[in-house]
Amino acid sequence: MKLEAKGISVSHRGHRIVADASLSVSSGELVGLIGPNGAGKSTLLKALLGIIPKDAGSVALDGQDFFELASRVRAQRVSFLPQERRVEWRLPARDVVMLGRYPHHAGFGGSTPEDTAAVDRALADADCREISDRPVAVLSGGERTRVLLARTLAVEAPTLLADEPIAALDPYHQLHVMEILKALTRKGVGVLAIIHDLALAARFMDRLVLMHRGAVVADGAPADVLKPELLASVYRIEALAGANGGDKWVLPWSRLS
Amino acid sequence: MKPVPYPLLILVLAVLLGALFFLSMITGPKAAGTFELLNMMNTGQADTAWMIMGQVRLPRTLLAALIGMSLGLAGATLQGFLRNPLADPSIVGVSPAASLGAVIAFYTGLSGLFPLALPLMGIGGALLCVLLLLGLAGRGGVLTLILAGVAISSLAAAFMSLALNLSPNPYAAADIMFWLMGSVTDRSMDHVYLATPFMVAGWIMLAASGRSLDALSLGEEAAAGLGVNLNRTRLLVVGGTAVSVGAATAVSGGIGFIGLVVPHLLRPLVGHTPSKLLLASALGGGVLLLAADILVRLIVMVNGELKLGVLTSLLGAPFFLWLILKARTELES
Amino acid sequence: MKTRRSLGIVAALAAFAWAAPSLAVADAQKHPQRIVSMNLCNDELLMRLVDPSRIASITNLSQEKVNEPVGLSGIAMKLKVNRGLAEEVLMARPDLIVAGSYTTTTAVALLRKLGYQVVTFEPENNLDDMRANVRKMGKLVGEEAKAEQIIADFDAKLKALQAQLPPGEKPVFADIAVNNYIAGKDTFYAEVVNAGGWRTIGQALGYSGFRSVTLEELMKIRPDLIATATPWANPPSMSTRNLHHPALQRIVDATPNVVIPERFTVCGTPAVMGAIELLVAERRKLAERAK
Repeated sequence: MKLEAKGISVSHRGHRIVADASLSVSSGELVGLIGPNGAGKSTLLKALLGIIPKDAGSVALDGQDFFELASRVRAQRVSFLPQERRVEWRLPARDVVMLGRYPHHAGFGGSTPEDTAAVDRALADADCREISDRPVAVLSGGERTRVLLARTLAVEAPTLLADEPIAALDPYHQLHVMEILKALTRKGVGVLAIIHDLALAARFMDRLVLMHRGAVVADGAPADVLKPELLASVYRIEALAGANGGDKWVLPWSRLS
Repeated sequence: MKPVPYPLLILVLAVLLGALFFLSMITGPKAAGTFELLNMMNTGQADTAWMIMGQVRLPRTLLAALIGMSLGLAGATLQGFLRNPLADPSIVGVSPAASLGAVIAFYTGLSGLFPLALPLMGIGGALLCVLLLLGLAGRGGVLTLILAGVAISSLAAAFMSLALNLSPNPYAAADIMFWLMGSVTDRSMDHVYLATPFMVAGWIMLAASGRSLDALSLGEEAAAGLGVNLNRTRLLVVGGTAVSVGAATAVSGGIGFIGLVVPHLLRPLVGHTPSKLLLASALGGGVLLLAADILVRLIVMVNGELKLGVLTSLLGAPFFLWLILKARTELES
Repeated sequence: MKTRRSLGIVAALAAFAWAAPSLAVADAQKHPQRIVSMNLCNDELLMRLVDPSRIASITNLSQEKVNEPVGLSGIAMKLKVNRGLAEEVLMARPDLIVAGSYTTTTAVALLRKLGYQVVTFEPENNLDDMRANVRKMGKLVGEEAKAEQIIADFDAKLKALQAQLPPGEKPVFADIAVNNYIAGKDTFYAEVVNAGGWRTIGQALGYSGFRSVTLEELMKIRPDLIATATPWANPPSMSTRNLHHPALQRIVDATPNVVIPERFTVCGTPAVMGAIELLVAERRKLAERAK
């Protein structure tokens, strides 16, 4: 499986938000989409999915035009976890996760045993089994994110796109979510996640795509992308780097004037 | 409140609807009580009794049930679509628009041309409202849609006030005001034949949007990611509401609160799932409006019959207030 | 021969059976026996024109004290009443239904659809309309002669009263109702007031029809007579509070006032004679005071 976007451009009221951006994600890869606030990361992701219109560019799934597929089929192949974490209505966690099976049904049928099995697997993978009967509205931030992640997993799509999956989570839960995503890639799913935490990005991601002012300025292994020159020109920061056993880490340290 | 098994809930509501339908058919003014009617049947005046049952009570009962169902269904759909438990069919402005069409018919005297002229103009007003909504809100988002509905409501209300203000004589003004209060009294089967196709068409559109409402609980972006066609859903919801509630208002005048209160009451019983709420609210709306219409006939007022719309407001508004107070904490979370 | 005879008899019977209902209808149409009125003003006309045994139902309003038709209250209390609902009308099995052209429009439409004869009466704009409606009702119920008599009596009384009116410009009679609503020229109310020897405040201001006016306009005209118990004043409404506005209060206190009972003015029927009598009496009192 390979999802490939080429030359995506998006503008809004004459203002260029994404300019000629290209990226790809393949099976088993954990790709991080990074960049400063306002770089156009969310916009690129949504344009890729067809949630917002694009001015130019193409998206191909395994060589085939992504947008030629029916929306239901697209939803079955690519699963999306948006930034919005609010769930309207006092739904129990299990029912929320069941919503992930939506792309697999036309018309009105109820849920099949296949759906229930998929939901169980998703709850297990996202470590939500104990909270599955509680209403989402009363869950903590970390629990809610895992439930919504489970919802995304329930689609059982070969690709997963996530917009800031670890935002507003404490360190424990941040690490937990990253581990879940990594485990997912070992099962063969391709994951693209927007992330702000450079330390976690460096540790967990196989590949990083760095965006700056709407354009992709770097695409490669963390060590190649998180170089001091790029950190300085794009993020305007200086970072410390080191290693812990085999894992390399990067820690933003000070701002550059 | 714990959710109830869905098939059981639907069965109970359906049975209740049937029971109230029967009760409504045997309720009438004192002069035409059950005893009197049976008497008529036995003393060779059966055709008057049948006329009352078939031409006066049946259309009234049918309309109360159908209008209640339309209001309940539209309310549940709108609340699901707008992801807001305070939404009500009037938010799209179609009730005031239909009322304005009827008021214009009264004011210009067109309503006297033939009996169905009034509801036809009401339906005309509703359809005009749909066109305006689509024109104003078009490709915009949900907020634009709500604002367009509010704008249309305000405009319609302004013109109706103008018509009352400039009314040629006090009787005409009273006529308009009483119609606006909402009633299904003395409607004929012609009203039923006129309104039913529109209402049913609206129901089909609303029902078709059902599943996408579930996906929308996650927000518009997640829903789009799950394959929901947001434009199509919006068209089905707004169009379905406008057509069914517009036809309902055109025939009965303004009846409020059913679309707001019924989904609210039934939501916990269906486990908060928007799609399941649709059928339940339709049946619940029919039950509630039939009950109200029976009550209207049982409460004997000195100066004329209590209007159905007045009763639903009198019962609905305080109930709604109580609901909000009770659920204050829930809404804030 | 025998077959022909029997066929002949059968044919005759059939013809009679076919004709009989229409004969009955024709007769009923000339002299309806079960008349239902759905309008307060028609109630009164009906009670004056036909025998109570021919009235199947009148409105419940006629049984209220405030609407007591002059000299007919005994009859009204004994009749069956309806509240304008189609079912009640149907139960009375009418052969003629009379209604106003407002407020029971849905019931009227339904009854017409079911094949009943419903005759609507338009509200009167002047005394000629009143006479026309009395004649119309007389013709409908088969009592044309009685109708003409009622009109003749009314006109005779009117002529006699008007002969008592002093000459000169008509003084102003202030009859301020709901929300400073007044009756201008071309209204039935104005014509009644004129017949009583006065002008309405609406006429003095130069307006036509029913409309509301501002307090300033009301204060411009100095009336010589004020009515405080005008139609719509009972039960009390926001309207009558206008009369207690400080600006008007002085005028109200300094002007003679008259009470015209509602039942004289609420309908455009010969009952308005009661109002005309009161007004003529007041006009003469005014003339006496002026001497």
